[in-house]
Amino acid sequence: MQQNNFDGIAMNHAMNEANMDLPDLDARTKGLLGRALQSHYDDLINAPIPDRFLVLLAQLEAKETGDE
Amino acid sequence: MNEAPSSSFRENLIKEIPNLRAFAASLSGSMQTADDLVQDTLLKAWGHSEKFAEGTNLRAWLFTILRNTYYSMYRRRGREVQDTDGIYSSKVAVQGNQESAIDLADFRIALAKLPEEQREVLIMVGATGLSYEEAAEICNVAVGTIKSRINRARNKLAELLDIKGPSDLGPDSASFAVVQASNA
Repeated sequence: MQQNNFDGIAMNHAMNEANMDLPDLDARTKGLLGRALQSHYDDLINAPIPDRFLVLLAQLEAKETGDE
Repeated sequence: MNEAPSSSFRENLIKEIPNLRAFAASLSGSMQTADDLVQDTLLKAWGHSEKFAEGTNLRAWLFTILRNTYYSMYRRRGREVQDTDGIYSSKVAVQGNQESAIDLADFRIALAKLPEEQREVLIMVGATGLSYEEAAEICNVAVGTIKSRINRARNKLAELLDIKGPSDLGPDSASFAVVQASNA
């Protein structure tokens, strides 16, 4: 998407995006979606973390210390 | 002279790994890609730790790095819309959450159908606890644009999941319309 020809076009784009807004959803639907989103994300958050990241950070830190 | 990142910086990075993975998996649709993204993000964060302003939100800073990395390096691989590498396989069958009337598997399919720019913002604000302002800064757009994208994302999800409306009319809404029409 070409958005940076000049500022006017970028601004028009932003305004269009706002102007075409859909109506705000009712509270019940927003609540349902919010809880589903949180469940989805919580599953990902709670997934076990592979060791590779801790190993990587430990190696990076060891390297800094070794460089002194 | 580069000052070495402190141990506390490392500890704080470690604390953010679950969130980084969750965000990366939500963006890319693949846990394998997510882990590659997180690794790149950690390396970059470590290498540029002096650019992180103490006292500001580390999560927002890391999300900015991760997101930029994703859009510049990973996106062209194409997003797997389906759960191809088993991100959720262990959990889908177990989820019996009575609080949510939306089936989690259905929700994930709908979420994957959203345009990327809407999905990322919905996740940032709706799930990771970042503010509208932080999301706007991460995506380099106006706060109003963030609000608009979230509203569109919610509307699209409600449509895909067929839950729009103050009460869930479900399949009855069609017959209700027929009754109304015949009474006219």
